[in-house]
Amino acid sequence: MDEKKVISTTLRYGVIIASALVISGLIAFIVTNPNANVYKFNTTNVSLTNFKDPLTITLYGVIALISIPPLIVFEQILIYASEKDKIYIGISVLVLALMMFAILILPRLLHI
Amino acid sequence: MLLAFLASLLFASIIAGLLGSLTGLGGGVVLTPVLVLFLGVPIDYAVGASLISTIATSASSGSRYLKSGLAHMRIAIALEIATTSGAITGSFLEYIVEKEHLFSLLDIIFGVVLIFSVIPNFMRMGTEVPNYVEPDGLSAKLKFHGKYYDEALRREVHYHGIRYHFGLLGMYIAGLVSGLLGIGSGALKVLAMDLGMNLPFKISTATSSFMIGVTAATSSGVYWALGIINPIIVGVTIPGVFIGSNLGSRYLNRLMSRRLRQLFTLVLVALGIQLILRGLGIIG
Repeated sequence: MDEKKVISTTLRYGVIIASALVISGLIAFIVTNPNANVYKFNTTNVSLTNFKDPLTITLYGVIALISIPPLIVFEQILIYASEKDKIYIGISVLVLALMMFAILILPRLLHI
Repeated sequence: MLLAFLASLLFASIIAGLLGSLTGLGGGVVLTPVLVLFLGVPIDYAVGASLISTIATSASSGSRYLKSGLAHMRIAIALEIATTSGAITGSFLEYIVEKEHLFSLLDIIFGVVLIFSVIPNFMRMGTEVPNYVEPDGLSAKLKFHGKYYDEALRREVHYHGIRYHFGLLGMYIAGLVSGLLGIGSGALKVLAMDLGMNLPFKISTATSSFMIGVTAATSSGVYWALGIINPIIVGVTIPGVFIGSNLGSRYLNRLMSRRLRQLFTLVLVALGIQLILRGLGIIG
């Protein structure tokens, strides 16, 4: 397996998909809300299920972008598993676990 | 007017990406002061925009550095244990800043880190390859070795990272700063690898670029929950910083002399001082 090619391709296409979502959502928002107040919107008050809201699409772009790093760490687990490199399987699993804890669990623990 | 604000936001993001690339510090660390000082964006939204834009820039440059063989995947993942742990601590500190409204303190810390980050640009880094040192036990076991062709020296360079524990310590601090300030902490990462682990400058910078996205993504969960990621602002800063960084790295970097690079670096020092003065309430 060409490990570098796999990860490099994920990074490249990940950025393209995320940017396309972010930019298309923003353009649709500007067209439909030309006089909106920028500071009224953030990740706590824009719904992730209201697909009629262009900013929902933008936020899915942000989620796609945030998902790229955990995805490449997961790919590294598979790569080191195929190489039977136990030390690096352990290291990659630990890094992924730390990331998942920080992204999904820590905000709940802090009751934000 | 929304459109006028977004146009100036795009322009500022491109300049930040360009300056970040020309000085080697990355777009994120320049974006926050530019947004805060020139566009009046609240520092928490600026920090959130910077964190997310940093992931996009890192993914793009990381992909290029992996293909060129300069980014070392094993060194990166082994050090990411420390950067992610640091980012967890840093994002927790950012949570306290938000909770206690310590934004002036954030201004001051950001200014100090910005000034500290430019130090490598005034050192004689990047011109020499460190002497090969036989690796210590753990570093040898973790296969921190590699080789690359150095175009300036016109020879193949063999390297082996040493002192993994120094690398981990430096990376924990880099991760903490990244989580607190929403920046990539590229300069601190390079210092940890270059001075701490005896890696060649080219390998340090490439591996650092590749690692930055992992560190930044780790902090994003807390940032998201705090509501400091504004979809309109990041919708402009992601492409803006991306365009600026690419313009810098593809076309302008080769035209840069060491003196010119240091001149641009002085602009960042001025921004850092302005942030500190703002935090102290001396300027508005």
